Amino acid sequence: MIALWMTLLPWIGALCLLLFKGWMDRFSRFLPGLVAAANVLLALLLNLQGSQQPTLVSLEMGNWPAPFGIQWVNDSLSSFFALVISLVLLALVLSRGFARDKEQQASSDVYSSAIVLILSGAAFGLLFTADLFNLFVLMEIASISLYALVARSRHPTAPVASMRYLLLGGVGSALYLLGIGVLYAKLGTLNMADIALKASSLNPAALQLVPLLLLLGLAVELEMFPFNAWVPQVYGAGGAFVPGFLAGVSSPIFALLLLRLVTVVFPVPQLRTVLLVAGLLTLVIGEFSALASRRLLKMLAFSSVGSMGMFLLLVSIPGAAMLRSSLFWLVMMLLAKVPLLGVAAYLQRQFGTDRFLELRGIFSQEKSAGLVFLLSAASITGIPLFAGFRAKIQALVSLASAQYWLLILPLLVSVLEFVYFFRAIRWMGMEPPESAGGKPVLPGSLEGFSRTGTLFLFSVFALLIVIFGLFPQGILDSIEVATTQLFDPVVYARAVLGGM
Amino acid sequence: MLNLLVLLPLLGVLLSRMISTFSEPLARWWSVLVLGVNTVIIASLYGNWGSAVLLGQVIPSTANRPAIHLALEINPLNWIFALVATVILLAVALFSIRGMSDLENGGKNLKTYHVLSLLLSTSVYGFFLSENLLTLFVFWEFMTWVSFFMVSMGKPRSRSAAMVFVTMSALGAATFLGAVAIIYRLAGTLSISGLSTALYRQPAGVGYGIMGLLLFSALVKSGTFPLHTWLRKTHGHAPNVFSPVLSGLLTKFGVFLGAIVFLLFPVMKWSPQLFSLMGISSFNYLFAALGAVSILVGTFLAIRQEDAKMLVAYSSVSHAGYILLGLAISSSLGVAGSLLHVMNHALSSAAMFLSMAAVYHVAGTTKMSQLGGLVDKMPVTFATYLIAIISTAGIPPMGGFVSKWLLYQALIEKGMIFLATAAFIGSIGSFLYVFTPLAAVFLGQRPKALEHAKEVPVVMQIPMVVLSLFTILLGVLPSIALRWINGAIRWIDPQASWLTPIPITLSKIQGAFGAWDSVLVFFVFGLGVVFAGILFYLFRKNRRVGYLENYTAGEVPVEVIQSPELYHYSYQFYKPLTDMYAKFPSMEEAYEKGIAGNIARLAAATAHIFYNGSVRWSVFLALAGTMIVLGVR
Amino acid sequence: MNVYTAGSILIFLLGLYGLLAKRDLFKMVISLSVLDTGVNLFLVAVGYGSGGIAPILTDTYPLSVLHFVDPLPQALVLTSIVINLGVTAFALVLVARIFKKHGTLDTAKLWQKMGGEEE
Repeated sequence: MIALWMTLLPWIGALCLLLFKGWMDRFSRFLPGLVAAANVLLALLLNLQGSQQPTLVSLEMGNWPAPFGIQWVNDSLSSFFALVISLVLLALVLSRGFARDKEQQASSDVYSSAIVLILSGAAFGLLFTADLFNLFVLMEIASISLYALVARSRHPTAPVASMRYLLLGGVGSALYLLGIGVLYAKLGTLNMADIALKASSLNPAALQLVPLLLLLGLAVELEMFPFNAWVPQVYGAGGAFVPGFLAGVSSPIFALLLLRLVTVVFPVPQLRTVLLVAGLLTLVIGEFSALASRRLLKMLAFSSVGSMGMFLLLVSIPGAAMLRSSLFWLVMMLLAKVPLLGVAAYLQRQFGTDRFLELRGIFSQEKSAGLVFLLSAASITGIPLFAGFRAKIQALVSLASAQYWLLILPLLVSVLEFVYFFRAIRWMGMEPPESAGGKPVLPGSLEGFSRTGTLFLFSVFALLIVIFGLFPQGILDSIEVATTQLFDPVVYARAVLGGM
Repeated sequence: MLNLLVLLPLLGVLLSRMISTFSEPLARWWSVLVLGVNTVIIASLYGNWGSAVLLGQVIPSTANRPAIHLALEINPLNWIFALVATVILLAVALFSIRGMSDLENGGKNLKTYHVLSLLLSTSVYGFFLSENLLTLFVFWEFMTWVSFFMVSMGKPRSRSAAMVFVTMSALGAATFLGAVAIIYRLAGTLSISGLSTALYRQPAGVGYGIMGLLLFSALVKSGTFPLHTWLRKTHGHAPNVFSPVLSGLLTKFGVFLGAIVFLLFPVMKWSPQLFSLMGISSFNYLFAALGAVSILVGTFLAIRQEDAKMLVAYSSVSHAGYILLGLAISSSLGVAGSLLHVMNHALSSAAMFLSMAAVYHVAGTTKMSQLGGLVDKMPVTFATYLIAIISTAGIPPMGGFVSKWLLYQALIEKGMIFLATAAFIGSIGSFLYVFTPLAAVFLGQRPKALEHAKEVPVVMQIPMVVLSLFTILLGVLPSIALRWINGAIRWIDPQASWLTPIPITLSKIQGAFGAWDSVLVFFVFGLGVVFAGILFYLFRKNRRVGYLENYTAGEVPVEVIQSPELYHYSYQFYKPLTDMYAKFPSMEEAYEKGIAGNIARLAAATAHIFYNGSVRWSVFLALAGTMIVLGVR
Repeated sequence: MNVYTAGSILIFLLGLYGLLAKRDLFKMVISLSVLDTGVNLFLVAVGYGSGGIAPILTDTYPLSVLHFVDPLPQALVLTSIVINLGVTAFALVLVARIFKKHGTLDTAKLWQKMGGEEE
């Protein structure tokens, strides 16, 4: 029941905002934050429940038994990630609240707040859903909300960025729907667990085609090459919420869905081959493009693409160890990407640009932002004893235990990663500032409480990076439990189909 | 005790920050105190071989593999390196109490510097005392990261130097990490002392592959040809008190890794499967040859430098070559020579950089064409430099000679004529290049600006004197150090026939073709020096001439007015020689323009092709991707 | 494969062609809509059995008559149509906005116009 409320609560909030517009305008600033906080509590509760009762909990709606009804399944994987993602969402929603324009009209903000709430609800829905069509609906809700949020950004390229995202997303969802069509025609079910049990009865052609179509459907949100052309512009349009959401919430959630698809629903080798090739391409092309970008947000966008490429690469290799390291990778990268993008968006807001050559020596006046950037960059480049290093070493060890040659490209692009992150640090942190007095404060920049609050939020992430770098055991244990469950698809299927 | 070595500087960092808010100079003394305590600990750990300590888990255990911990261990081999490290760190810290004139543009910078230098010390102790390869890697990366910031605190151009440093280090780290991952898969353990047993059953191909990967990063870090290109910029532009650490100590990170690879891998089991050259496997010969090339390249480039710091940087390249040469030969004499040379080079290069830092402290530059005649203004600095270069050039009775002598013995013993020739040429070349700063900075005419120059404060003199004394000690009684080295050799493989302790007494070293009595030689040389000194003072006949007081036949050429350094007697000191290879392509340029530039171009092209502004093109790409995925299946 | 399935695939390909060949954003949105329609039709076609009846229990068709059209795809398509409507409406608004802002819908020209703002 809790899992369901994590979706319903934001949606009810959004509904209230839209229905009682005018009354609710005053609350529109606080409501997303309150809901996000409530969701953190719900996620905590969910995890506490899980620790007492470590079995799968499945919810059926409208009293339709599985596989017919819509199902919300809460296994240890989704409950762990629900906690992570609710925390990230809380931070993002709060930073968005801090970044809100004072002169902007409250009534206009209501829409954005409502969209953010709808988006958060859909995000949790995607985490818990057990039904492929349900997944489609939630995916559409989430992506339309994202298109709208991107289009609402004030960056000059925002509408075109949103359009590109929409067209690519549209193609992706059409492919996904096509996959569902074929699957339903052949199997007569769309419940993931049910498919897992029946998949062997599919004819070989369909067994190859369907997972590929579903994968292509998810590819846009997974930032997989060549479906990720929207990434740089959408991230580049900035804002306190969208880039962080894409890197910290949306891509991890779709990564989890992919993981379920690959391990539980369709453990077919073709899918893994595609993932292997796509992962390598995504990794290499992403990191190379990051090297070429002179804008901080774009650079980070490409870096995010690269880390998703590494994830795809890890997923493409069967085995429990790989699953473990891919999940670990996901969490650790998320922890670094959110504050990095947050700092970049903050700098863009304060100084009107995110080109790091124009932000020369900026960290000497923005000390805490600089420190956050430094620690997160250290983590993402895999400097030892930061969180990212743990993930990197595990990933590399797993890759080595599969195939030696798989090590080559990730290691080579890690050099590029070093170079572009240190280049950014060099320009923003080490070079002396251009003008001694500092730039004049731009209109609309954050001051006072909003500024402190924003920086505080990202400092928390930086702190987490250090803490989890030193004591990763908690996360590792959670992932271990999740992996064991995920790796036993039959148990999953029984639990889902057996009902509550 | 062992964990204190790492924890003390680490905790010291916090205290250092607190102390420097009260009084910044006190924080400098604090660094000295911490490093002093660590030095005492290291000295007291002699003989406690095998004691180990765990600091934390890095790779969790799985069903078939044990966990990998962050762990320290002390053994005769790494103790030698740790001792060298701590001596250098302590000396530089003491020097830094007054010697950071190039950093003192704002108090803030210095506070950060103290924090960074203690962090760096942490990484140094951790690195040399690592129990396993992963710990080694952790501290290695840690060092890179801290060094990046320390290097970029130097002169304005140091920022781009730091980028070069990071890029090269990242390359080295990548191959290192690859090797670590492979070893972990094959052996399930990463323990350094257990590598030989753990990898014993692997085929030679795999073994040499791993060794190649590790040696690649060793070459990068030690600044050996063909990966030496970062040294000039980094060492030249780094803060003056950081250059001695970079050159004397941090290049030894690579050497230490090289020693691990050549000495602790089951090479003797693999080598029969490879064809051999001159009695060693072709793999080893390849690296010995790289060492020889490195000697030549470093020497000839050093001869050409006009900046004293860059000159010393290139001399580090050539010395890294000597060390690699000895390790790659892997005979008893070679290994002993290499390890001894590690000590000698660390001492002498740190001393050279310190004396250059002292010159900078006084004169504000290290450009040789703007200096001169400092010998009677700065006698201690001069003596330090002199002793250091005698050792560097491998002239008796300083330490540098003994280690080079051992290396020559090793080369001749194996009959490696080409490599020996390179080593000899390098040695002669080093006479040339070490003499340039001597003549340009300390001897000759003194520019007017330096008329009132004074010797540096005593605090800065002490470390220079101490390092010089150590250099002399290693020349007079190398048997002290060789006893430690023999211990290490015995520890590496007690039963091996390829590696045996070399026979020594207190004053004598027995080589392959005769013995070296260092005490006797020292007294002979000492007598010679005394005699020459007496002659010099009795019959001296010299007159000081002013700076730039040169014979121009009444004509003042335009280019001399524009750039007066052209008339400095040390400018292009060895022009006839350097002209011979002036047209040689520069590897530094080849790397920066050729490789790095092309990668940047490739990156720009990639971004332009796949992520350009065209909406239609991105839709096309996605659809094409779909077709390919669905079509290829 | 019956005529409905074939027709739906044809419509799908038509949409695909539009997306690949048209350089006007408005036309690309229309093509996307066509593409989606093709997919929807495909889903309905999949659920349709020739000669099947509506899956409603009445007196005329007792439970024993099992040859009815699968209702689930139709329910899915209904949802999908609603979603498509939303996406298309939003896309059209966006197209209007882009035209207002940049004065063109030609992707090549848009690219040129935004070149300066990008890097």
